[in-house]
Amino acid sequence: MAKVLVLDSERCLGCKLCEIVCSVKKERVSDPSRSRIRVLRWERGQEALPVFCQHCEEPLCALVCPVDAIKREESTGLVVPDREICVGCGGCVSICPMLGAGFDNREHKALRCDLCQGDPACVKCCPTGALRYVDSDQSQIDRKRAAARKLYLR
Amino acid sequence: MKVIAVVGNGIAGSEAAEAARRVDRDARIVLLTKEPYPLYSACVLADYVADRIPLERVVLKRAADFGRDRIDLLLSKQVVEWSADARMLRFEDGELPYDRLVIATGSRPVVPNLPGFNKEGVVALKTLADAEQLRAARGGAAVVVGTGPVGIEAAIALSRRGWKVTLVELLDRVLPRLFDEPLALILKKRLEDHGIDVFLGERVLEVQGDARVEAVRTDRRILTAETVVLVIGMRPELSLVDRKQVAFGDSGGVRVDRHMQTSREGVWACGDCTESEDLVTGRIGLHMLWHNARLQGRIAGANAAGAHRQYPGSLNVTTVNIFDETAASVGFLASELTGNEMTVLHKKAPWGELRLILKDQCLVGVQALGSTDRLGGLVTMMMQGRNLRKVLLKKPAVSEGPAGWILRGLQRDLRRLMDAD
Repeated sequence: MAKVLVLDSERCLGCKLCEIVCSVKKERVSDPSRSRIRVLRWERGQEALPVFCQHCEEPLCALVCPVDAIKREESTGLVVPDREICVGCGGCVSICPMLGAGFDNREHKALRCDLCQGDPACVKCCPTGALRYVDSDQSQIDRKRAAARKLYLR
Repeated sequence: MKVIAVVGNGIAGSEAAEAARRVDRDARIVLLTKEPYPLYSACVLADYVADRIPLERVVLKRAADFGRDRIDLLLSKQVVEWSADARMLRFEDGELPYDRLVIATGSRPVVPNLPGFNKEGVVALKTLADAEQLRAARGGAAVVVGTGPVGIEAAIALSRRGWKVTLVELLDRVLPRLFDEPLALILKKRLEDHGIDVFLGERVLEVQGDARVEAVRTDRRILTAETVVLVIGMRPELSLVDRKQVAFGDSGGVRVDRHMQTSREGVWACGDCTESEDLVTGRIGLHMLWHNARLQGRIAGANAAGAHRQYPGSLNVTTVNIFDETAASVGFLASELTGNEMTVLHKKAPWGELRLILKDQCLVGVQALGSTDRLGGLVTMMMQGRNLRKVLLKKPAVSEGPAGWILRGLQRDLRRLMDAD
């Protein structure tokens, strides 16, 4: 069964440790701006919202990509951009409704969470368990579909 | 055997043919194009002109890729006549009877009715042939007429080739359909910092020279140039079609229903030649963007092969990249609305700038500079048409997506703005 990254936003402290761990693991630098998971914070208060790629069933980023760099990998089912092909236009960043499309401003390439090939580092470092990597059962898929429908369809 | 004909091999036509094949494994699918190339990406022609990407990246599908899907790709095949009643397409050297037709003929650049615009050295940046022409040109000075996204991209590309580039715009700011004054000013300065001259509020009157371009005369000055890039707008390419065959909308594009079917039974349309509804503003018009064309193509093609899919509408998020800095826009501009019906929140942050346009306490437009991701998040809120005052009273709901969080981050400013309203 496919596993997915899920978030319990009530538990997120906004410590941003996941950003650092992600950039170290994937880019070998401690640079939150090059992380594949990013933590949004409100202006005030404790609440924070980590955002990351949802690997949508019908990804807008793949629709918008002018060079077909973003495709679903057949083996994993993940929606991942090909860095070699990406022209760095930033179209995927502006269109994603979930803020899941990251962007490497130094190399001008799209960044996307690939769940660390099934072993996500952010989950392991999350001090409160707000990020979890769980089996995606049908009820969860149905819930996500319902939420997505509310989000995007009128 | 059933024949599905697709006219036009841009992204809409190509996707239509593929989608038709996925639905109907047996039909004969014929994809006709007057272009000599299989599918290429019109969006990255500027990158190719600038030598930032090789030709292999511009070409997205080769003839063999169509062969694998058993799609008969006919290149350099100009349709000279469409007999809608007889369900027949005619070429110089033959004809093709069909059962179902998908019109995906795209768009063509607007050429003003002014002297000299037919001279050698005047190009658009619409086709791969245009890009090749710019790459082959000897360099020197270029005048780019029009500062829409393509004009800006063309100017940057030629500047990267080492040309002296001047941008001329009739209106008072660059990218006038995408950005209000504050962001347009920043983008203009960025162009100028990279050595591109930008002249605003200036009308081009003629292209001078004998057979070839030598200069451009505006109402203010004469600019010498070996090349003129003309990108003042696009119109649907419908020379094949007349209004008696299928209904057109007020925009001049083919009118289609939710299933991308035209007013004529058995004929679908998609892409730049088609009008659609903007999901954010509700405006019916021409929304000539790559992703809209792609999705329309998929739906038109599938339905032509017997499916019943619906097109939700067009999502007009436009991203421009100016010397590796991005800016994006969606929805209404403040300058499109009158002062007493709208309010504007313009925020500067370490990651860039965000400009929100509100009307009747609803979000109706967003412009972003720098990190543009928040714009995409806010689109959902715009499509839902939610009253922001009510949104801010409640705790964020899952159904708001990240938009709820972004707005609550700005709640003090938003409240102040709405209270003053």
